[in-house]
Amino acid sequence: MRHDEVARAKPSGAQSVVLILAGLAVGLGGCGMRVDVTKTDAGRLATPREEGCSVRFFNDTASLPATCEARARVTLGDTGFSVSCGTGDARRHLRRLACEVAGDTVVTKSRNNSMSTCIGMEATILRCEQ
Amino acid sequence: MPARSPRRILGRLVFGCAGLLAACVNTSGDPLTPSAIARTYCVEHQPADRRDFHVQVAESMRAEGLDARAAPAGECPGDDDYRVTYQDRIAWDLRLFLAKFTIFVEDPATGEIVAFGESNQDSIGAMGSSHRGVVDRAVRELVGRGG
Repeated sequence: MRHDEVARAKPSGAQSVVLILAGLAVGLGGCGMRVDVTKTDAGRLATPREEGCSVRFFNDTASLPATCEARARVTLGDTGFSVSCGTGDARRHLRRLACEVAGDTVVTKSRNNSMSTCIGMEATILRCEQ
Repeated sequence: MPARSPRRILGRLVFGCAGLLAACVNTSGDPLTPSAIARTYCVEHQPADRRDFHVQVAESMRAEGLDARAAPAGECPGDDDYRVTYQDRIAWDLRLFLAKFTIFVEDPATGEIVAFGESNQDSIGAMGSSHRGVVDRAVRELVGRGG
């Protein structure tokens, strides 16, 4: 290999820094959690509420009124590369989705995955206030 | 072209590791409202917990000025206003470390989760942190004094 080819193949110091930063950005910021959403017919037809709307969270042992209507079922978990995947991230996703399907209540159930530090969660979005 | 010096390689490694370390510990939470902070809390032992984290959570909450007590499973809330539960995730990486700790505060009358605090750390982020230190971080998020 000629000397100038070697120089072309190896990145300069500045290029290396850019590459490292790009790798960190993808590795740390670009890997959110997996969110699978199944909307019910009522959820699909609902007029969305305003962004950041008020949503109440319950665990799966709570007894909610029978009049609550399911709007969507959501599964959250690890993509295998997820970084931003704590309870706060999960609740942000669920709040956004609840507003989207005009829900006001979210019932969550944790799913443990011993291979991942990401939260695993199943949630049902409901509309309880008529 | 001259070979890269070990010092230059080391510099890049340190730079890369510094970036990774910055994300090794993260906390999040929906803090208690000011009116809830004046109430009483019952921290319930969770069946899967073999380390008695409920005692540490109650101690940490008291250190933050909350009126909290620890209780065996099934005995909360008793006379207290809120039931406190938690989830811990122990991971292994040449040693056992507390990778995730989440505290939930529930209104026993409705089952609503009124607040939570969480601390996540990977193996590097957990270095130098005791279990109690991780619990303290989660409790600080719970009371709105997190980092």
